[in-house]
Amino acid sequence: MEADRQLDELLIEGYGRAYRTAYLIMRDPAAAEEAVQEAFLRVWRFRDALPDGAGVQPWIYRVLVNTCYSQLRKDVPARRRSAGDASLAGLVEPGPSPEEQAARTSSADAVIDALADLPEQLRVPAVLRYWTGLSEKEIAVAIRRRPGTVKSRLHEARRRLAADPRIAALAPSTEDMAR
Amino acid sequence: MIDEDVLRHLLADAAESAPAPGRAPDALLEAIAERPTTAAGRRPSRAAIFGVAAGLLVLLAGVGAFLDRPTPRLQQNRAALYDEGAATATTMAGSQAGPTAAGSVASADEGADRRARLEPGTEALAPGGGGGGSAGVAALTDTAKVIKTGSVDLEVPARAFEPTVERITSMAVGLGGYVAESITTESGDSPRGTITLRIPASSFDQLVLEVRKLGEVTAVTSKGTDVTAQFTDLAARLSALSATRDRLFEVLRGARNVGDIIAVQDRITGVQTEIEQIQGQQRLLEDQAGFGTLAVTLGEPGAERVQVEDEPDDGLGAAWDEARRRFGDSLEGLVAWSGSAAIVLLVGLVLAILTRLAWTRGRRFLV
Repeated sequence: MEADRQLDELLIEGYGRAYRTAYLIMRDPAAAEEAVQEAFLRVWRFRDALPDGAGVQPWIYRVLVNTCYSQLRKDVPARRRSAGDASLAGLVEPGPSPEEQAARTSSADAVIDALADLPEQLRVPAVLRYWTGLSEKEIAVAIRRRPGTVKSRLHEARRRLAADPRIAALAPSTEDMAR
Repeated sequence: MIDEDVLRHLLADAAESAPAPGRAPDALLEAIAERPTTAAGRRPSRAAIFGVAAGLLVLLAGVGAFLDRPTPRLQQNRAALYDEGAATATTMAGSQAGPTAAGSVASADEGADRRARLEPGTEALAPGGGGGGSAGVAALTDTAKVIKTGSVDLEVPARAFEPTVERITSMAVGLGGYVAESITTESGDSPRGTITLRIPASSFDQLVLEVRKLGEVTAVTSKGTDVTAQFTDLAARLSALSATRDRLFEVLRGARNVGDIIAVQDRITGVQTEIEQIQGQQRLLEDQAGFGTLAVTLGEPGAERVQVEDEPDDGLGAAWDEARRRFGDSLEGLVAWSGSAAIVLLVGLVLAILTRLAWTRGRRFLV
């Protein structure tokens, strides 16, 4: 069916973004991968309930966020991959050079650590807004809260991140980079 | 407050630092991608899968029914066996459950008749006689599943309660059974209790006979429920469902897209659940048919009377009990009296205040 084909494409194209969204929320690549797969399976299973048009993406992210919450409730160490998964490393896409990766990793770690220190109700809207790129209305659908609540949570998340010394140290260099 | 664009850059950097899923992430998505989109390669619909499964189920049930078809002689025997219903019960009440209970005698006769039918070589089951008939009946009785339950109410001599309980327990254990539950109550010096025994079905009647010898029987109940048909039905359903599950696994192995995988997995889960439920029912029936349940209620004479009789007024213990009772009565009386006294005091207080007010105002008016 045409609708199934469109959903296939949407899921395949959106996999990377969804995976990184889950990674920022959960801070664990293996758990993020698991969450996205489970979420996409659910989306596929209940595809008859998909809303039309612009409502699809928030709906998918609602499923993803719920799955992340479920995963976070579980024992995180139990979900970490064993050493045997090292063989999967060869399957990973080629990324930036080692030098670039080293510089990026240190700043990325600082951001991820700062995000992890935020409570879930602030971290999830922040990730959905500033990484995934959902609008406040779409986030409201994804986390089942009113747009006003989303707005206030985003404000609080920004305030806390600005007060975080790890983010404060990175902010100027990022501004330079933006220029 | 941090700028939103700065935050976007930071989060983008952090997100891209995550190891990309690449090829590894998801066989599932590969399956989605590989799904043929042309009409010729379209996956079979759920309805088609369920249709195939249902067809297989019907076919297997038919084959099973054909293979399980009884011989003409056994058909005759079954007709005779089920003619009077699936269950018989005998109930005897009154003094020694004796022959004075007319209805009970009738039930007992029916039970005896039924037992006679179940025994090999009897006229009822094997009208033609001969070794072949006996063998068929023997096969039938071997596979028959009958749940036996019963109860015996006994009155045992004074101070014989404990020894009788121990004797019944050892008898049950000796016959390969066990005590499933034991409840004992004591009123005065006369204990009373009920022991629930689980006994191998083959020894059930023997235990009932032995227990009846241990005291004066005040009531006996015995019931046998034939569950052979239920058991056979469960076995057939289990066989058909197992075959369906195996076939679904084959379908699953051949599935090439997510829709099929999920549909078949759902169906397998449903079938597996049904299989486990049926296995549970089978185990329950096996247990109930394998072990009969006998509840033996024991009591010494006068157990109930002791509860209502006044205790004899003798000894220090009796005096102490009497003192406690009177103390309790006094306390109750005091509490009851204090309620009335409180009301009287309250009314008096209100009256005093009113009087005081009236007196004060009257004096002012006079002055």
